[in-house]
Amino acid sequence: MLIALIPVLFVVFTPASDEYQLLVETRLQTSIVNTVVLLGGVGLLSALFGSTAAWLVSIYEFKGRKLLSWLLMLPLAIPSYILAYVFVDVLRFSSPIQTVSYSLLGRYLNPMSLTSAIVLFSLGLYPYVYVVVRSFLSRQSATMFDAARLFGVKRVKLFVGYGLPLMRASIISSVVLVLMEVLSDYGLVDYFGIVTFTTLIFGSWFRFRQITTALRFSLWLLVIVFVVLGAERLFSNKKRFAYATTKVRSLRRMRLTSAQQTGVWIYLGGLLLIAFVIPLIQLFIWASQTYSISINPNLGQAVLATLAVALLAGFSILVLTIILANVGRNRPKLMETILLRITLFGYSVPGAVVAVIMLLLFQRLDAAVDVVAMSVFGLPRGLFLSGTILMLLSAYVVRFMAIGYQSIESNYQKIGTNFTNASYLLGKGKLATLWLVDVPMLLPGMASAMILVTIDIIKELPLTLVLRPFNFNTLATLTFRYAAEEQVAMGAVAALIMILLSSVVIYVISRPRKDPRYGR
Amino acid sequence: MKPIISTVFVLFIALFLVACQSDDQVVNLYTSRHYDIDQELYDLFTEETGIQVNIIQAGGDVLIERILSEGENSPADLFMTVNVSLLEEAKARGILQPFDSNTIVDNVDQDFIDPDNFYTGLSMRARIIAYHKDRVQPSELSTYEALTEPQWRGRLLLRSSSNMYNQNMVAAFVPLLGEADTRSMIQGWVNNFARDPQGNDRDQARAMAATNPEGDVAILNTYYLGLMLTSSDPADVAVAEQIGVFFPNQATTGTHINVSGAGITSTSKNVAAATQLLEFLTSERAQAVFAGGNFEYPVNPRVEPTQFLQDLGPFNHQTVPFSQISQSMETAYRLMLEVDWT
Repeated sequence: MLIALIPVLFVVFTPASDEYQLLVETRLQTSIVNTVVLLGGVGLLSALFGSTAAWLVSIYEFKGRKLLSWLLMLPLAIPSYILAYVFVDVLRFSSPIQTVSYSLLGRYLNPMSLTSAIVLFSLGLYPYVYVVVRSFLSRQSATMFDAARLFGVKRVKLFVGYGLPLMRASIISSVVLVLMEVLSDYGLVDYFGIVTFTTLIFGSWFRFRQITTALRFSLWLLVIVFVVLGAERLFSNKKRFAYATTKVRSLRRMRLTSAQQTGVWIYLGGLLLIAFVIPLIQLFIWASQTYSISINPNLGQAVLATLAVALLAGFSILVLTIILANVGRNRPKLMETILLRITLFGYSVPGAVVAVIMLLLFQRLDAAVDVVAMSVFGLPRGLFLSGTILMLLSAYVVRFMAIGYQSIESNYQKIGTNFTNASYLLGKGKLATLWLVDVPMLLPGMASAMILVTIDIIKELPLTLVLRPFNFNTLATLTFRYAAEEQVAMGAVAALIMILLSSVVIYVISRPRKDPRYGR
Repeated sequence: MKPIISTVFVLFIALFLVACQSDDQVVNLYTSRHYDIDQELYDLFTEETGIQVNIIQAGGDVLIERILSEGENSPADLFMTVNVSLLEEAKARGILQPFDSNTIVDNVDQDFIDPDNFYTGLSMRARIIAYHKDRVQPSELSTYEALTEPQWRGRLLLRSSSNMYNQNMVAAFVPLLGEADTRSMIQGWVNNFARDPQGNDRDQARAMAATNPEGDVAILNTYYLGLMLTSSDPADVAVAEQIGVFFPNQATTGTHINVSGAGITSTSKNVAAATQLLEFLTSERAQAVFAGGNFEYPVNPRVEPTQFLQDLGPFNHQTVPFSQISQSMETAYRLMLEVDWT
């Protein structure tokens, strides 16, 4: 990743071109305003959806809680651009929703506005917050809640007064993921005609053929990323608290009255209805119109390929992030922090930029392999790594490392260093400590990291399109084939299979299993 | 944990088997066309010749980057895109070589073939003025330039300037009208916009046909209307039925077209097979498939377009050399930025 970043950083020292100036004059202001509004809106809304949902299913007991707590992750399986197509169709001017809107507000809703983009991103991405916060709450001690309940703290106050401060770190670190995902999006914002940094990057790169100008705008993105991260540190790092005992009693969920249960169901059910059920219904309608022509033999192969790359890359990311997070934890120096945070860059620039950086990187790797092959075997190897599945997998790792890192790291902060230090004192080595002490405690964080990374790779598009080997299709590329030509209905079957596959992955990783308690 | 690891391992092996194919007789194709009919054609070709067609589909821009970064060792034999300015760019950046085949030259209308034979067109679409039949009379329409007139204020629908079709169209006007006049034309369009540009070509048609219409005229590609008319979604059919097609600039510079085409890469290791594929794709048999399945105009003059296009009638198309369109792309994008076409 660092090697990949070097050319980006060099850009600062080259003079800016006229085209850069033109883009700055004509588009920069709009794109900054749009980006800030988009990030602010999506940040608040997804934090609201995600944290309240996680709180309700973790703290309270009600009918269907287990089912809901699984279902609430599923909107993650729907790519934002599909959500956009669905809602543009659902909000056609002739639809009942528009009629209601017109009679109530006196105007029709514009499904392609900035507000609409904020709502759609939040609906599709709140599960990041939900998954991370829920895994955090699953390791919460009951003690402080019992104390709060003893004093008769009201429910809303319990959330605002106790819940929010407690969850703050995990909410913020997961919101960072959501925001990075929004920054790197191209499909939805381009469809809606919203000018953002992605527009500037693609405009300068593809139209003006100036990679340096494109990279310069990517650096702007990096600045925004660091501002967001600075804010994260500022808001989440004031108090570090960690357990000093291994006897952490897990939460006893509070019972709700039936009226309260209805309320919770209306809220969470409503969220699910809009974020998941309606899109699913629309996709089913499309699929029923098109299945006779859109079912093809590629689908079976694509399921296998999708699953394989998602699990392989997901697993690699998991292993790498645990190592990285461990390094970062044992040496909390500024430099380390910055280096680790750079992983986020891969996640916040448009996928196509990462793709081209990877192409250049593998070109150099292959040149090196070539030199070795020539001197050892006397044979040029040609392209040894480029164009292989390995190139695609490494690209996934570079891109999605940040997700693994953010969700693991928020768990690490919670655990603190007491147990690890104890293990060192008892003469255990670093690796042994990692395996015996940290990994068992990190399990919920690892599960949530695995879910987020795997689902993201299942949906991934720009890297897969450019870097894949011949005749290689994932469900996402099959879905996109048609969407790219404005025939999204034709891709509905592939999209439904993709959502089904994601749901299975989410279920398998998160299914309730015997819980190995701390310090077994 | 163990079953997960072994599953992952098995999947990895399976993946390699899927990804690695034997390569006796192959054409390796990098394409930005995503249509089902394309696959049908490749299957037909393999059936006829025994030559396997391996495919990577992605955006034309990034495929050029991939071929360039793969350099001499690039496995690509053919580069195919929906956009002739990208083929021109590929030619200019040295990643194409001329084909050597009289069959192709004989198959294709010379308007759609590179003068140096670096690539050939495979199909063509017209970017026409679409209008709402109830609110606009065809007699009110004449040219693209006339859409700048005040009678169209608040009535013109266009998608965003990031769209390649729009960029190409503006680029074609730069050599025709000169920079200053092109600029005032698109400035006139922007002044007449019914709303901020959003959505794709189909959404412009939908906005005209809505119960609360947002505009009355739009510039879009013919084949989207054909696809909407035959769509399995009744709502799309209803929209397309309200929309009329007008071929602008018939007495002057002709209607803008976009051509999809393909050329053999300069590093190709399977030149003969790649040439064979190009010959096949321009043949009458394959051209009939292009015309039938996707509402595109064939480039082989011996093949009739589909009924929908025949009903629209014949038209004069722009004849700006493709190299000039390609060279004007930067200027076009600059002008679009300057007139604040979002």
